[in-house]
Amino acid sequence: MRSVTAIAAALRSHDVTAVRLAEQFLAREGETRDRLHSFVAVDASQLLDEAALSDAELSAGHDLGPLHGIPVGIKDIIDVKGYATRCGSPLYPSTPADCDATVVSRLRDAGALIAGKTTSHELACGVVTSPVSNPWNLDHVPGGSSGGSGAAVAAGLVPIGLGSDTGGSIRIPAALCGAVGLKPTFDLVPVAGVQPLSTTLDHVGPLGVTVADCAYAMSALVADGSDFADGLDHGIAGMRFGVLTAEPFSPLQPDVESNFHAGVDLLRSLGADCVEITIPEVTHTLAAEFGIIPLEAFEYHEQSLRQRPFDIDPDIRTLLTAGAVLPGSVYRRACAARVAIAGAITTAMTDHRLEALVAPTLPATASPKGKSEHIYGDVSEPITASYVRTTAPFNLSGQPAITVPCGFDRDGLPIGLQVATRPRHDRLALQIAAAFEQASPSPGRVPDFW
Amino acid sequence: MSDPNGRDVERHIADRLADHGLNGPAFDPRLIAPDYRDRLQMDGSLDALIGVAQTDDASDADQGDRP
Repeated sequence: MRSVTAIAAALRSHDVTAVRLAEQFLAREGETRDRLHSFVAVDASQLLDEAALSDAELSAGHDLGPLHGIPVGIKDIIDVKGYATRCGSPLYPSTPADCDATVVSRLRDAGALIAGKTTSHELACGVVTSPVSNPWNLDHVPGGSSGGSGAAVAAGLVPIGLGSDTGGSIRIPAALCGAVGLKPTFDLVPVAGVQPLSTTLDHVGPLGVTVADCAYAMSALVADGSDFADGLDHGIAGMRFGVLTAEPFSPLQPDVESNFHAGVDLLRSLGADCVEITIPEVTHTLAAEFGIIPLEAFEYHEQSLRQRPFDIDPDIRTLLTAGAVLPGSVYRRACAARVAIAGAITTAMTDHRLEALVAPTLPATASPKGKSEHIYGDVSEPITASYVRTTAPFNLSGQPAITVPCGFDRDGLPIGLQVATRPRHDRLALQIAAAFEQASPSPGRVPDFW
Repeated sequence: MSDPNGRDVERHIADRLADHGLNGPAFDPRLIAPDYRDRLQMDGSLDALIGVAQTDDASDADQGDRP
């Protein structure tokens, strides 16, 4: 019983209570803490108190919907009242936040219970999230920067974790941990109360055990009455997808490549027309992404960089310093490149009459801890560039992009398939991912690290 | 930056660090220069997409469009 759908049914049939769910979470989190490190803070008494209230409300007939009584993990760059927001960094004080981020208050309004704060890569600026382990192999990274949420969801501690995504930080850990992760349309989910990394690229969104879990979370996060779970079972027959395989979606690890093509064949078997397309402008993704982030991140962290530079990881300090010393033209040109890339994606989708783009979420599976590069044939690539080059195009374009599990490599590590739809077509992205999930040959496979 | 591979780059970095009050051993221009050059090279690759780079001193000093 891992998904929201299953838990919600059990709550309403009185097979379980919110208090019992909270107790199970606390026991499992405690049992796995030294191996997974997926949570940095858990307030057991607050969680149990809120669970008791949740049970009382449900018993009184006050049903808030699918998330009622569901424990949710919140990335530790997002304010939760009563918890310090630490961002994986010694720069931040231990003072508790005095109010919830908007996304947290919306989850509470939908009945969710805050299980605790999940580990973030330092300042949400990295793809490793040390010391978190990947539940599929504890010697491998979970990805990042929302690595704690990815590990917690994959391990079955919580069915939903909140993350943020500036260059892939929801989709990277979701794919590497075998979860579903949705980067929504830019600005669809509010970022008030969320520590920024790069304000024009930051997105907040859900990681979930299933596509439906992410849909339920999106209904709560957007909170405009939209039901993002509506139509998940409508299928994809007659849709037309553009398949991206050229740079930066290549090179890939061989097992990733074969599983991805099998995934595309699966989409075809469901009635979708899948055509290979190329969007040459997208090859400039990393130059645009890495031209924008340093200057925007420096603007936010300037004071910390000046006053406490040695409390910042050397690689992140280098990035922030680049934001201080690079010519302003670098930022302006990167922004112009971003517009060109986004425009090219829109044009390609229009010209080819596409409902969605399909791509490998990542070119590689989860790296062993401590590894700094990926090898593709004769080419080595720094791990950050390797993981980000396939996800960042859709941060630049701002369109929704979801990753859904797409098999495993020869070492049993998860692989993800990415679906990107037009801006504001988040529900369609969920629908396509749900069809793929339902037809997938290995749905519901869980890590056996317990 | 007439000589992007030489000391002019380090001098430029030192000036910019000073502009921001970034002083001390965490901000050694010699150690920052390689990353700086890599980023300028990446920026240069955008010429193919958006046109020729502006790398003259005037554009270096122009921070008006920073976020």
